[in-house]
Amino acid sequence: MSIAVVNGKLCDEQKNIHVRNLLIQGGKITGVGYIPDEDEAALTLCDVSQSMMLPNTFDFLPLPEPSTIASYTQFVQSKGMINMAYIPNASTDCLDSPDVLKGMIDALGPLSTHVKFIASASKGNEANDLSELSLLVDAGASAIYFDRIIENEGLFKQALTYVDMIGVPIIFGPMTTMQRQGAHLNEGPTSFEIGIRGEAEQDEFSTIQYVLNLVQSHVTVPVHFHCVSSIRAIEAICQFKQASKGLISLGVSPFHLVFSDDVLRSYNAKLKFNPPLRSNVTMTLLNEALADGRVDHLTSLHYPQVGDSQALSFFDHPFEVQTLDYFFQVVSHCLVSQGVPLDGYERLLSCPLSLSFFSPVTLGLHSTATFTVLKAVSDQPSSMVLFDDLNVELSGGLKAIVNQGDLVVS
Amino acid sequence: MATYFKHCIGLRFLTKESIMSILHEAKKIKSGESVVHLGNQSVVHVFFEPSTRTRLSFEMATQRCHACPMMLDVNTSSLTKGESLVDMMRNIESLGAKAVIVRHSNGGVPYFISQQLKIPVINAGDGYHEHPSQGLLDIFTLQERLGDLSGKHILILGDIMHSRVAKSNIWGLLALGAKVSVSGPRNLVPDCVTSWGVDLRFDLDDCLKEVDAVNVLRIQFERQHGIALPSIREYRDTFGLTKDRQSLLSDHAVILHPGPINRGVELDSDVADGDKNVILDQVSNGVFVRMALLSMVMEPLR
Repeated sequence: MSIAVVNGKLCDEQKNIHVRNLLIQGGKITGVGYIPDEDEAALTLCDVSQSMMLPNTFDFLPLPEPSTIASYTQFVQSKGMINMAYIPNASTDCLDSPDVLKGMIDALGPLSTHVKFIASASKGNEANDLSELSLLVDAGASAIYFDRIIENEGLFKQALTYVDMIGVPIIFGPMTTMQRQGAHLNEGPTSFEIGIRGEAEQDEFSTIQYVLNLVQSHVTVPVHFHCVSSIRAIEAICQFKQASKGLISLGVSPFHLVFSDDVLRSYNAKLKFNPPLRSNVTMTLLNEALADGRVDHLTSLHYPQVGDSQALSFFDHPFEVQTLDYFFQVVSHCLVSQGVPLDGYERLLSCPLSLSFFSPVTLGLHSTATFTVLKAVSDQPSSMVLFDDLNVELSGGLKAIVNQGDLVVS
Repeated sequence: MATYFKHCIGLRFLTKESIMSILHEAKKIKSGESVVHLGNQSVVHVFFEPSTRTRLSFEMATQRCHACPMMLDVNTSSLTKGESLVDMMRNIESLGAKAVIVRHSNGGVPYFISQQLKIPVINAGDGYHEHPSQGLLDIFTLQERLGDLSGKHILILGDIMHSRVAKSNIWGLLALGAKVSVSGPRNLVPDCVTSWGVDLRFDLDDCLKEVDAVNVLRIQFERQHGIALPSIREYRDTFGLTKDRQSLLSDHAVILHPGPINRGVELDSDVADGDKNVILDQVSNGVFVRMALLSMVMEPLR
């Protein structure tokens, strides 16, 4: 069976945008620009005009249970996320031994070309734990992850220096202090009014500023901030980037660009985010940062579901729980509504170049037909129900997902 | 005519008539004009957070209403075996409890419980959300001293951001037509209160000359969770109600404090024990206000 994806836009190696038709057969692209006019009954036609075809979608995802790594990776790819870096998962004990890591890479088989593993530096607070990092890197870890600052500043500096010596990138997580300090009031008028615990923007900013100071003096490897949700923190990172000319990048969740803390008024557990949702003012400023290029990556904040965690009440529900189902719809809306140029689609949804996790793929003859198609123009905003019960008007949308030659969504 | 209501989650959810009704009932109870007799119905007190005065006050109020207070020790409850909060509360309801009084460190928990149960739920303080009975007893005490609060100017001073007492006071006072101002360290006074109709005042000394009452909040140094606060000395110098600052208040103005007092921090001892303070009145009025609350949510059930 053949699939013809027609009128889609794609970036070539020189970052030029072209409109192309792709013929897909046997999981590969067998024709570019050419659509056969014979045997039409066997041809599935997918018109993706005014949409971008993205073969390098990438995200950081918390590690699932090791035994489910292959099926989970396939699940994520079926949702349009082609490449991924697994970051440590706070709720499991995995990825703390080289053997476990090697086992997962073996279990992935050919899928491993789309997957990177990131080892945790802050899981343990003892100096002994740091010595394990080089073993994990030897076993295949591509970067080191700090989900929070290490409280002991001496040990934190030691950890940064050690990772710098190993020579792999550093990924800083949401840098939440909620677990360590028991959380305080979330930011935003609704959060204030109804007393939602979370993390204030000021805290995120203070933490990131502190980290940047240490990075300046102890780190030369690429650094990426996984998810930033306050504008002052983004400004601090961008200033640091300009001053140091360092390899530093930052990610933002599109959900912080479309939801403010207003949606928490109903205590809907599915809308608990980490970092927590911010005020309308911050949401507007984050959108401006997206539009003017200060954001390097859009991250889904997707968290693997365990058991009936979605059924927990707002108060028992952990922060961080998200779903991948709505990510690309919301991303498309953000990109379209902020007028992000077409090459920005590729940049914002691919792995930041400084991390060098994956070689960029260009869609062409004989390349594997795996890509995600997002609308790139605003037509009539369509009303969508997100997170089961939240009615939101979105522009753009997810147009198609082609996974290994299969048209998963159209 | 009393205005009954099912739950007391926060003053934000109560109408002016409901608030007036509670205050009126509390006044009648205090004067002996009204005797509450709830027929030995069981009222379960579930405190997930430590409490001394609120817990004792509710216990005393329950007893004086001729109801049976049942104190649940959450540390030895089935929650420690993994039972969910909802299951536990439903079991309490099935045991025959006629009302529950809940304190929790998470804002919204009493609201959440009230959605799950058929019996009345009274919020005894939930996280950073509200502390309605404290707000009511503050307003009751103010009314005793100042009369009708319409047009009166009340200043709430301290950590507004993290204070459930401040929020309940603000909603209640605004409902009764008072003018409300807030003051405190800049990072602990959120701008968004202006959208509620509250004034931000960082000129404390000038503001004190204008107000009819100051409700001084306890500075919870143990609960700031990393938020930058001035030192105790700096806080006292800038926002503490010292004897000198007290002298700026008009003759009729009163000083409230929800307790416990950090003497020498937000209140000087001379002020805490001075003529203007109504702090112990607040404590004793708390029992009458809570009796009124219990009667108004439970009487309709009898």
